[in-house]
Amino acid sequence: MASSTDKKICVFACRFCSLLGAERAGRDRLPLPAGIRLMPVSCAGSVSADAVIQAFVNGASGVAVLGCHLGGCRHNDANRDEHVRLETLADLLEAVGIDRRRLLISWGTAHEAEQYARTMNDFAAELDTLPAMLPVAPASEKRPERPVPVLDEGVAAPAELRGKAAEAIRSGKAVLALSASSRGPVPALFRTEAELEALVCGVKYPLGKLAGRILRDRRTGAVQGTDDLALRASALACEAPLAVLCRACDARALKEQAALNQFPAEELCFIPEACSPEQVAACGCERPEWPGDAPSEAAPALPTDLAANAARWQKEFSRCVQCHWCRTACPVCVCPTCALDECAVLPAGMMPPSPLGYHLARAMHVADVCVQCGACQDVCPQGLPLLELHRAVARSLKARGYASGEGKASPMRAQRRLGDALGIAAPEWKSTGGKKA
Amino acid sequence: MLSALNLSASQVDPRSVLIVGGGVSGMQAALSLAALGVPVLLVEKNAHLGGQVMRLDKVYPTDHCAFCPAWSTAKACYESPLIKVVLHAELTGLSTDGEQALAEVTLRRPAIDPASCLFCGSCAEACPRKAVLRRDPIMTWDPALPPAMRIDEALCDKCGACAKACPVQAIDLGVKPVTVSVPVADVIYATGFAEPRPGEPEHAPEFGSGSHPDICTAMEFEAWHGESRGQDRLTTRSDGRPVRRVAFVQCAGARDVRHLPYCAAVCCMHAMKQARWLKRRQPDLDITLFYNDLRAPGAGQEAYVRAGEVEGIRLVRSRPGLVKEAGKLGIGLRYEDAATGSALGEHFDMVVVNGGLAQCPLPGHTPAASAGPLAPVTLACGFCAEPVDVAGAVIQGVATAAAAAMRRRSAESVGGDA
Amino acid sequence: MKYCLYCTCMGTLASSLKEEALRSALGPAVALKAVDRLCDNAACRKALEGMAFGPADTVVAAACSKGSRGAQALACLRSAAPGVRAELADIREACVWPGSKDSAGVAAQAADLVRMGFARLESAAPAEACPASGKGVLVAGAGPAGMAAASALAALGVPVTLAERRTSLGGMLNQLGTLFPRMESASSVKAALPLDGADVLLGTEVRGIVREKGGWSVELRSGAESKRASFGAVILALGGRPVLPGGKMRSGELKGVVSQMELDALLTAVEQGRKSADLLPADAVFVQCVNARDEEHNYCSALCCPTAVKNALRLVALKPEATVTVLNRQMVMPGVALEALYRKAMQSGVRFLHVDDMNALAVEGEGNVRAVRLPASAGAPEEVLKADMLVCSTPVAPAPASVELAEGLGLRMDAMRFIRGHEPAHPLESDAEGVFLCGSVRWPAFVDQAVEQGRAAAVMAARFLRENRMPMDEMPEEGPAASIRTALCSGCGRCVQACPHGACRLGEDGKSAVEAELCRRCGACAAVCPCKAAVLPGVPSTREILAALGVVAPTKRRLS
Repeated sequence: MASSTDKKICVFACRFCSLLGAERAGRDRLPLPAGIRLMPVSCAGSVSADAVIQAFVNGASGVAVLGCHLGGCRHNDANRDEHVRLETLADLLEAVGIDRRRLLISWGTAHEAEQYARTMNDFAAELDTLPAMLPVAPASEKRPERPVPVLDEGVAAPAELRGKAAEAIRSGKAVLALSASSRGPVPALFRTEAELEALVCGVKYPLGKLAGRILRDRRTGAVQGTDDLALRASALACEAPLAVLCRACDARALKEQAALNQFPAEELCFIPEACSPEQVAACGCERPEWPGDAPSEAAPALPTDLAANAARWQKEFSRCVQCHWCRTACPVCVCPTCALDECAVLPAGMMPPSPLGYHLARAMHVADVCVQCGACQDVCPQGLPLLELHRAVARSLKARGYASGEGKASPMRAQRRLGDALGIAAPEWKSTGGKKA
Repeated sequence: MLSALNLSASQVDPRSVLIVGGGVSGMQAALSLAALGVPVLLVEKNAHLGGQVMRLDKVYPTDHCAFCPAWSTAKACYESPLIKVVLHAELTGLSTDGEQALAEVTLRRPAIDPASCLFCGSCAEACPRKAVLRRDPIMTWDPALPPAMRIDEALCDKCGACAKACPVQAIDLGVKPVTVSVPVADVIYATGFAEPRPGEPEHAPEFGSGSHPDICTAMEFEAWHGESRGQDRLTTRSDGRPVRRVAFVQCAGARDVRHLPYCAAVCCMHAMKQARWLKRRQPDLDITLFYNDLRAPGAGQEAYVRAGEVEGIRLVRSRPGLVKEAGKLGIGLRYEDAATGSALGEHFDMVVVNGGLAQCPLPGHTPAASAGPLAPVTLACGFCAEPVDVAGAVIQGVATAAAAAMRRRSAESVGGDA
Repeated sequence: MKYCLYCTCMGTLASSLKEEALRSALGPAVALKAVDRLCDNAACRKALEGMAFGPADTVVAAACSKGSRGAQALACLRSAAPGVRAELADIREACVWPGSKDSAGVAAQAADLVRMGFARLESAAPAEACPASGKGVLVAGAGPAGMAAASALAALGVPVTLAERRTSLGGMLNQLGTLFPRMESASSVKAALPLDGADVLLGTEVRGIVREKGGWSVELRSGAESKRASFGAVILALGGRPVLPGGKMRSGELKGVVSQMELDALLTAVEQGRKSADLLPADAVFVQCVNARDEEHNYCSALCCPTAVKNALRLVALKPEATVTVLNRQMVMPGVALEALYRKAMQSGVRFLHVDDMNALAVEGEGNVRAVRLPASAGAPEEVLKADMLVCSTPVAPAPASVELAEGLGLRMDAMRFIRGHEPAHPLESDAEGVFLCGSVRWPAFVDQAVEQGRAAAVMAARFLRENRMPMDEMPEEGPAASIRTALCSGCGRCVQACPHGACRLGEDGKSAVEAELCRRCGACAAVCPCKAAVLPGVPSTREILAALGVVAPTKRRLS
């Protein structure tokens, strides 16, 4: 009521519960904020992170997703999955300076007229107290000076690693690794032990992406796309099983690709390349997981000052030139065509897609498969610190006991299999009989 | 199919099964029969289907909304081509005309025709006595039906201002009940339950329900504390002061040969549900549940009770003696503690008296009517057959439909052979 | 052309939302006409007089909510102008009535709601029909629940196969002599469940139930032989497993300490004259809640109390001089019939004693049980009950076979491993489309309940086969099922994991596909698909969200 009408609130309301609350609030003529734009959905679980991001990018002051009680969903707990997705998205929004209070997630509390009215009026009143969202300005900033986390030349592989590769070759495998060349380290397929003379390591190269492509080519029987065609063609012609000499993050990326049904997981074979303290430090790696990896430094806390985050990311995003290399380099981006090329997340009058919408949506698309390898950030010509976005999502999921590449079920999908069926936590046994001791 | 206000013998398939009562049990029986190809005449005395479930705020053991499944079931009944739903109607007699069983159905049409009402509110604005209401005071609501205004008969002096104001002439203040006789084949009773009211033999006056606003029955309390009222803190019904102590008194008249000789099977869990919801919303509330045997036999119910105990609901095994207004002290309760056998007394701001639930009678069901060779086969399901909760009522409704359909099929195949 | 018909609800909305204000808020792209009402056929035809709609035209009825008379308005509109592409925008309940005094805000909101209606029309797809599956029902387990289900299905003319692991029908009916509450014999109940017309497979185990097109493929194993068969629906009636006293109350150590099942068998034998009445105890003590409502079995099975009362009555009927004492934490005898049975037992001299904790009982005796010592409590001194038989009432736990099948199907189970239905409104419907529950797989059920649930599950399965949807899905979303745009699909399987109804599956080509008859239009697939290959019409589209925010949707552009 108090809210001004230009503050628009997108309300996604489940047709089984809160839509009825909204309808009845209308019938009872309870005053509601005029900014409400009510959208009935067949289940709250159908609201994608994209839709919420889209609403914010297009000027919504707040977004409300209203559904049935957790456990009371008519679609076998589809709203539990939604709950995790939205909570994760809220964490991501905070990371870029959008107050999480702008995203209202409410289960089973808005199915009656008074509750709906109260929920929405309180929400509108709260939105009024928040500082205005910063608009994303067009590209203006220059690329900042930032250390490039790539050891360009690499070093000759130590004998131990060479020995492991030789062993793999002797057992009939083809080793995918980096080879010294006049152009610096390039990926190559090692078939004989003699070739291993040229083996180099210590270079951050997205072998996970390439290995995934090779395995996918083998599955489809043809080399598709545009990258590394010669190597992939020779890899396709060679029938030997593949062993990938790579770092822990590349291995995680390959495991996630297998989990995304891109190729059978049995085809994966790794020769671990440990990362040195310098490499770990250069990547700011939080997950050095191979044996021999240098330990990571204590992960810095994510900045929580919303205004500072907002100002910072406004600057960062304004540098984005929409080249989409981040997506091209990402090892777990496996879609044949990217939906973000369509106008899924753009505000009016901008070249699709808007940097803010694009990066948020991309972070959510790969939320539970992102392995924090940093490939996106490494290739960004404008130096956007994209890994921070993915880390915000990863930390949110870690709080739910999930990390990518570990073979766990994602809490963003099929949560219903994990929850208690009745939605009631069984209490601890306190006493026998009806009476409390 | 909804035929809200008109019914004539020619509209009813004589092979129809008449279902009396459109609560969960009756609705599920109707949907099951329709799915099996049997035509159904579903007679409901209220303004919409759904029965008592529509008055519940939440249902145990899941603590989810009751009305969401109920109203969508109702919608399916309204939409089924084989189910003829008659609202505002009661079965008043059963007879045979020699070859065909006849059901006497009395239609009590409301003054505002729900089929025409636009719910625009012009009548309410015109009424000088504020007798036109937007909401049904008893039932909550039924989103499956278009809303209609209603007239509170107690306030209306039939001045006719509303009828003049109505833009679509939907109001007839002189409407009278009509009784029609329709052919049916079988009858399923699903009349449900009613809370014992003061003056009825099932009602135990010593527990005071009906004597003071702060002594309420379970369903009264459901309407009072429910989320539909949107109140944060519980207040007394008498003067609206905040409630600090509330008691639930079980078996107050039930399992008592003088009143209700049986256990209504659902009150313990229902009281526990209300208690837990109160505790969840208002953790500082002092809640005590006085019970005789705490019966939580169904799926997930024991865990539900344990959870309530852990949340801090005090359980006292006892036999209730007396509930009475005690002036400034609030409401007094005397009981016999089962562990010690000693008589004790306590005071509360509000007392919820669970005096059991009475099975509704089966109208027209007399031994004589069911004895004749041409008399329809009568079955019963839901609470009127045996005390059950929502899950039990659903199962019974469907199972009874199965029994009716199986009997129908075997009768038809015997007839076909002959 | 875009047309908007503004229903003023017989003029009652006109003062709060002026026609002119709405027209200027909508702009020139939309032709607006205010009419008296749309929810009446005659009025609607009159409102449309002089208007004609071409195939490219779209109409939004700005009227009341769908649940009020909006659905009717839409139906009248479609009948007055057949073939018209029309949508509803609720401007009464969602805008004018809750609206503030700020009339510009109301008009802006109404205009956005109308634009959202046009956006929905633009992203709508035509409906498609779902084919019926036309297969039979498998009933797994031939106890009372399974027999009742198969019997009902056969009587209703639905093809049914009844598979039972054991070599005989009846399950618990073979072990119980007399049944409460009506005290009829178990054999008469068994006889009342004829299986004429059902395909009965004895000695056949039901294994590996997997989804296939239009139903379930089930492995039926008989001895060493194994075959697969297809069914449209499955009823799980595998029953439960009685928990044994397991050393509690010195069972196994002292003679005379027996389970309620053993007493039941003895009573039946004496009733039938197969054993002598001398074997019956003179002083029986029944102990309720043995191994029940404790940490391991944290629930009340609800059938042990009536069983104890039943056997107490049978015992005193056979041996009137016998004393029977039932030690209970509380007697769970809900309902009319059970309460009457309880009362009858009390009148027959059966003594019911409340005990808080059964573990505090001391069972005395050497070789044979001699007495039970009750500890002193607040209300009563210590008491010693003479006993030549101590009968343990134990609960019912889920059968291992049901747990195994449920795990294979991915059905939710509770902490005790009973399979969960959708309590309380749809208790017999499992999470899997076309799989129903009855009897003790979902919760301990006594014979009457099992028979009732079996019959109900049978009708549910018949309803499912006929209507091609779970009975609980009474309010199916109109419109077509979700679908996968194969060219965009990466085969990542996110939709397969996210679909709550098991409708999405990866095909041989590595791409996902939606089985239309299983799709219940929830849109979970569309929410998780990053490539936007999964689409469900009705899920708020980009267009609708943009319209809601008053943003003019730009033409679709692709960069790559």
